[in-house]
Amino acid sequence: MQEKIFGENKSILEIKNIHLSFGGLNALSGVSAEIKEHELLAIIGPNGAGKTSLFNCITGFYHPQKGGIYFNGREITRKHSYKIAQMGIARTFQNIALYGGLSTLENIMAARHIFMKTNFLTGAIYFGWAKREEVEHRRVVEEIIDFLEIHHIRKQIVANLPYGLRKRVDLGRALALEPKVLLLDEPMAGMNIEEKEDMARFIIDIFETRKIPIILVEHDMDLVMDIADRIIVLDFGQKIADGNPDSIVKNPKVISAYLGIKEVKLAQS
Amino acid sequence: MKQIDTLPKLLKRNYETWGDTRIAMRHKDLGIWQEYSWKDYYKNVKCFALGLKSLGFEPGDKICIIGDNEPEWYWAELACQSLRGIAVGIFVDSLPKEVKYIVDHSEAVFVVVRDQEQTDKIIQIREKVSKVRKVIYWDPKGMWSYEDPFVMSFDQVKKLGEEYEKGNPGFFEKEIEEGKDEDLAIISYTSGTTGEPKGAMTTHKNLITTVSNWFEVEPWHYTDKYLSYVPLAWIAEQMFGITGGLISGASINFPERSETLQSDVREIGPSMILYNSRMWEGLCSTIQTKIEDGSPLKKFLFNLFLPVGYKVADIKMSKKNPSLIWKVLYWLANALVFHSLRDKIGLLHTRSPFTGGALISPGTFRFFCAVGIPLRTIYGTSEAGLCCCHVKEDIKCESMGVPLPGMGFKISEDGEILWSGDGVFLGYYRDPEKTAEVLIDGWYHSGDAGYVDEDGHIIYLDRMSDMKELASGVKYPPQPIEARLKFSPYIKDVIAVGGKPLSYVVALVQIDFDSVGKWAERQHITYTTFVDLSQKPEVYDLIEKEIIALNRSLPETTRVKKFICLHKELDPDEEELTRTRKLRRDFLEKKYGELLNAISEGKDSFLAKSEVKYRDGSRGETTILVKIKILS
Repeated sequence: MQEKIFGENKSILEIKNIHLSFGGLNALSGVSAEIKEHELLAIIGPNGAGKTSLFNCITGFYHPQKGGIYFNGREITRKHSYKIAQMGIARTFQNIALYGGLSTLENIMAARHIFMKTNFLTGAIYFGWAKREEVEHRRVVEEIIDFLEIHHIRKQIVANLPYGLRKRVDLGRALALEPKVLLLDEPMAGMNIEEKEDMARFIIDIFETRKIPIILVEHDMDLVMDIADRIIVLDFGQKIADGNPDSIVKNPKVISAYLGIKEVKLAQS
Repeated sequence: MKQIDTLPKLLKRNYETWGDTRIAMRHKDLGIWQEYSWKDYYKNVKCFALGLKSLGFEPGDKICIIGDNEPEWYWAELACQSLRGIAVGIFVDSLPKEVKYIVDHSEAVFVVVRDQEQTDKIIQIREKVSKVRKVIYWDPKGMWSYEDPFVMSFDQVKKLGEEYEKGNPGFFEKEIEEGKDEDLAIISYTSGTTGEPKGAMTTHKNLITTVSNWFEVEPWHYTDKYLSYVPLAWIAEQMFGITGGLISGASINFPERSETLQSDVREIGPSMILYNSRMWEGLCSTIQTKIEDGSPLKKFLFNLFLPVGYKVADIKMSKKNPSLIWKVLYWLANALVFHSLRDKIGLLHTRSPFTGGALISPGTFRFFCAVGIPLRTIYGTSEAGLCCCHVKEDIKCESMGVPLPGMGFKISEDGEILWSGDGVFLGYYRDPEKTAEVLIDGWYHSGDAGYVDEDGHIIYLDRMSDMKELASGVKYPPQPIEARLKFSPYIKDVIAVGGKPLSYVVALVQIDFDSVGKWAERQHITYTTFVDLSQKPEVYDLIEKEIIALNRSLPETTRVKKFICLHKELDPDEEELTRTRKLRRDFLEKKYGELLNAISEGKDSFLAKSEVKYRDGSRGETTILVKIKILS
């Protein structure tokens, strides 16, 4: 089905054997993976498995000591995070990193900064080209607001919003970067069932309309099984499984990582 | 006005008069007010109409429209009417089953919907509505994966229309000229609380004459701004937004979403507004909560000046002129509090705030009058159009106003409200039997019971089917009597009984233990239990005052003559109430039969024995002497 819609599915992001350690602690040891142009990839694993570290390596917040990360064939391993964002890798954060004192609109608008060509001075005069540019970006932002159904909080200060809505604004800001790859770090954590379903729908809609790969870290297994095309499982900084949802649930390594070896043996006996 | 007898002709007139110079519609989209001039309005209607034509639309065909209030609804409806078709509105929250009934019954050939949700409803019932040729949606969000030729976008239809125009120039204008005033314009399906919904057929003449008549007492100007928010499937919005907008040339304003209504209203500053009573009540409680959350100074000022507002509103409603001192105080209250309050809710420039749909609670009505938003009630039905309303300063909280010019009005011998005149509909679509039941000799039998008070205002009592009969044969409305009494803080529940032994209405009152208890404490009246408190003579006096106030608003024959305070609370465990706390009337009349007999025999007290079922299942009995109080 995916093949039919998108045609050839070549890989867009490659992670080759990366190692990341903090002093004596190995956060990632020898993780390799690749993300196809058109797939919804989920990364799962117990707490401290290295999921967020992997995200941070991809987006340039951390730089791995060994190995390389390639985006469309270009190495981005040592690039700064803002450079990577400009190249088209956008992310949301597990703990939401918005400008609390700004409104929803301003937060999403801020993400358009990387596309703005006018400088501080022309922006201050706000005439001619600077004005036209602002209007153009505002339109893109308004379309995102419409897409995520957050019209009613457009002018509200983000710090005052409920958690579920802040997550949506965070996603909106990532979308405003017009990403070529979208990384979502626990987009549904701490939400109730209805909010989760809304968010799942938005993720699928983004995937279908923008036709971009999405990488998702998530703990809600039912949801991951429902929406992901492929799942990668990390445990203690190592990749222990990689495959479609059906093969993952049957994989004994995954079961033992989640339940512990003793329990698995107990269950088998 | 004579020559302009259909809605599309009115649209054409406005287009020719104002063209690009005046705004016909404003719709907030992507955070910006998108403006449509009369030219845009006309062009959109034209393209869509010709698009429908090229898809095979014929005069007399029907289209169903489901969606929120947005310009596209107006365009689709006018387009259909331009081709001498008939528009059928369906409420957005209708279930697929209900949608199926209406689409099927109206024999619609196209269904125009707003979004994916409504499209899915039609696709779901597609097999059962074989006459429908296409579903046309106007909001493309979420529609990217639909490749079914059954589904088409609004813009695609408009494109077809542009093509058609090239081959048939002048066709659209000719079609509009062909329209006649007795052509059907809309069919509105009534909500159908009893049985299947019925489709009331309304002509262009019905719409245009009723609204023109109404404008004689409540004129709209082309400079007015109207807020379109109540559903278009409801006849009132057809009268206000569609017909009123076309006749007067006022601009119609659509908020972005229902969630953004509050801030959008403030940006529009409408001069005309119609909310249903529930929305006014919601707005009232929103304001009160906001004030509770406000700063102490704001709260203090509001609480200080609100009584001034109430006082002046009451003086005005009793048709007197407030004295100078009240005028000065009100001026001060307005300057300090009410003006900015009205500004905050966007109703600063509202000349005519209307409420409709159901009777509004007196508390809400007085509140808005007090803060300087003089609400006016308007009453209308799908069958008779706009019937009566409050005119200008002639406002009364409990009435529905006076009959509009051109409407024939009378009360039947049974006390039913009857209407005749230009507004009365042709009948129910494909249902001559039901039509014959309500349309007799040109009089529409509304099924509503009411009477006319000394000021000529029409007072609504209840649905005819809910009226009860006294031994004397006079009918009385139990529910409104109960509802109005329950509005008192001291009365928790009440049963208004007439029935066989009684030739007058008796109220069995259950006092509100908490508030009467607090009141008693303030009066230094000691009491022990509910039973004790309920039988205190002072409490009887307190309740008597409430009932006397109610009686003033009732006609002589249906006034409450006697009442008792119940010695126990009504309880669902004793089957006196349903689980949703509605009265089980028949059961109660039987249970209190002996008491009612004692009342009808003219006794002044009654030894009540009542069985009590405790929550653990055991049974006990209490006896108590219940006083019966006769009102002078």
